[in-house]
Amino acid sequence: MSSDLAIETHELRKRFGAKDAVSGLTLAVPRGSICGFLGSNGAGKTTTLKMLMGMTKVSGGEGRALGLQIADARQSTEIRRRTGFVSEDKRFPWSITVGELLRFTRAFYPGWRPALAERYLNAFRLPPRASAGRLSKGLRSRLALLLALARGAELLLLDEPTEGLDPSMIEEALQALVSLVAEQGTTVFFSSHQLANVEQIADHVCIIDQGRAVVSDSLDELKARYRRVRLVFEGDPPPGGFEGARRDGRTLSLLASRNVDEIVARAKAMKARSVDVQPVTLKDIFLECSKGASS
Amino acid sequence: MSAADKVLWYKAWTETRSFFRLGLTFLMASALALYVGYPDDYSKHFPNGAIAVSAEQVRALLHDGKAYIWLSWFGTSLLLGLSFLALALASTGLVRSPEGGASPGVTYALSMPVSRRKLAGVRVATGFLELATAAILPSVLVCLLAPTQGQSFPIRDGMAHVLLAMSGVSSLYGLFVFISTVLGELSKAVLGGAVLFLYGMFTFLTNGVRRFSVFRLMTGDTYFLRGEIPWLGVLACVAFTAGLVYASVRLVERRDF
Repeated sequence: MSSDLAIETHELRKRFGAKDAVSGLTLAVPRGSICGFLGSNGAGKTTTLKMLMGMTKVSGGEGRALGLQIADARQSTEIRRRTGFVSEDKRFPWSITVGELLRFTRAFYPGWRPALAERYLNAFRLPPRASAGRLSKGLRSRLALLLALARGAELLLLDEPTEGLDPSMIEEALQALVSLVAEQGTTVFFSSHQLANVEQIADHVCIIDQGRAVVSDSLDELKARYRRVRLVFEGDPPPGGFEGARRDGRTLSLLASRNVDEIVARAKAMKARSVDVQPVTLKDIFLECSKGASS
Repeated sequence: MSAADKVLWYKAWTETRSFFRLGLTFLMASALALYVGYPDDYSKHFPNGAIAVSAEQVRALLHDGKAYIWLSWFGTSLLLGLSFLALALASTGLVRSPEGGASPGVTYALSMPVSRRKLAGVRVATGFLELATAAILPSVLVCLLAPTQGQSFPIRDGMAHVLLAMSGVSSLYGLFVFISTVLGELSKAVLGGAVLFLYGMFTFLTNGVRRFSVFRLMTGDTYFLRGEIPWLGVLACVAFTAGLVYASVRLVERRDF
């Protein structure tokens, strides 16, 4: 296990009854990176985050966060001391006000940053005297983010952190994450279905499907590896020429990884009228990986 | 105690204070009401006996105010009030399971750098302290106000009864906490059923093997009638409570959230 990694798992497993929620997840998240954790609903993202936080017990394999064993109760407490967490469940007790919740949280974190908390309290327009449990969905997300950001944490584990936020607040939250990484070297590991948000700030991406990582790499590397290739033929495209290609009339479209030159050469041999190689978006890669893993 | 520990206690307080305030207010009001409607003639009261005391015993006892105060307050109002407060405090849950509809704030609490044992332990201890406060304050008031009706109920005797009431209600609280922890959100329905069951058992026990009833221990009849504290019963309640609380905390420690 490497000290350069903020999160490292090897064949991590979680079984609920007869069902594997996470089935042999191996991933490595470098320190100081912003890593997007992507996957379809039920892919195992939330379960993984909860295992990293010690909320859900590990069924098998090994996992470390900040160099500490996630399955060890004492070390798990230390992980939580050094980690900010935004849960999928962003409900708070109705009996506590926003101000009280900030004071509670502050007491547990020696690195708490009061100036940052004050700044985001204003920026996120959170009412300090309001009951935390009675906030709207968007305000609850803002409060959860504030509580995670102001902890002075080395690692942020965020489960759908921008859920329920309007576009301007999403932008504010994303910029806050980027600032935190730039200023403090914090590692951010966050799940989201908003691929554009992930593409905007992440430098690493992990795509999980059915409890297994199907892709785990830097975003630049992924984008360099994948290309969208469009082939236009004079007549109907030759059948079975390119596996996984999508046909639209005389056009074939496919996502290529590392074998672009080979595909182009084959297309030319098949007398394609035009061959167009384009860069891809994270959405293209995600859809391809999800489709590939599922099939 | 560290700042974080103080906050943990305060958090437990904020999550239970509504029920505590309601229970304490009810008990204080009941204590005052005992003297507001104080009777001239005791014989018309408790015609069918009282909790853990038969009608014949009541008739034999009700010749002075001290017996009336004991039956009305320690034997009835305090016993029932504390039992319902224990039920209410336990229904707020230690840390409820997501399958049962995790109570709001559970994931927030579990993300704190605190062991689950401590988290659950502080919550249980807060409940015990609130129950003790709700037992002591109105009972002291009852003792202090007795002279206003020309009666006497020494605080020392009052505290002996509080000890017995607390030992009994602790075991009920431990039982409710255990049920609430095991059954999660379903606990509300089950706890309601448990109360009815316990009430039924209790009424049965008054006519049956009532000497083993926890309610009888709570009334403190052995202390009032013979001046003896049933230490065996107290110890049994303490052991029962400790076992249930330990089991509840272990369940919380082992649960997935």
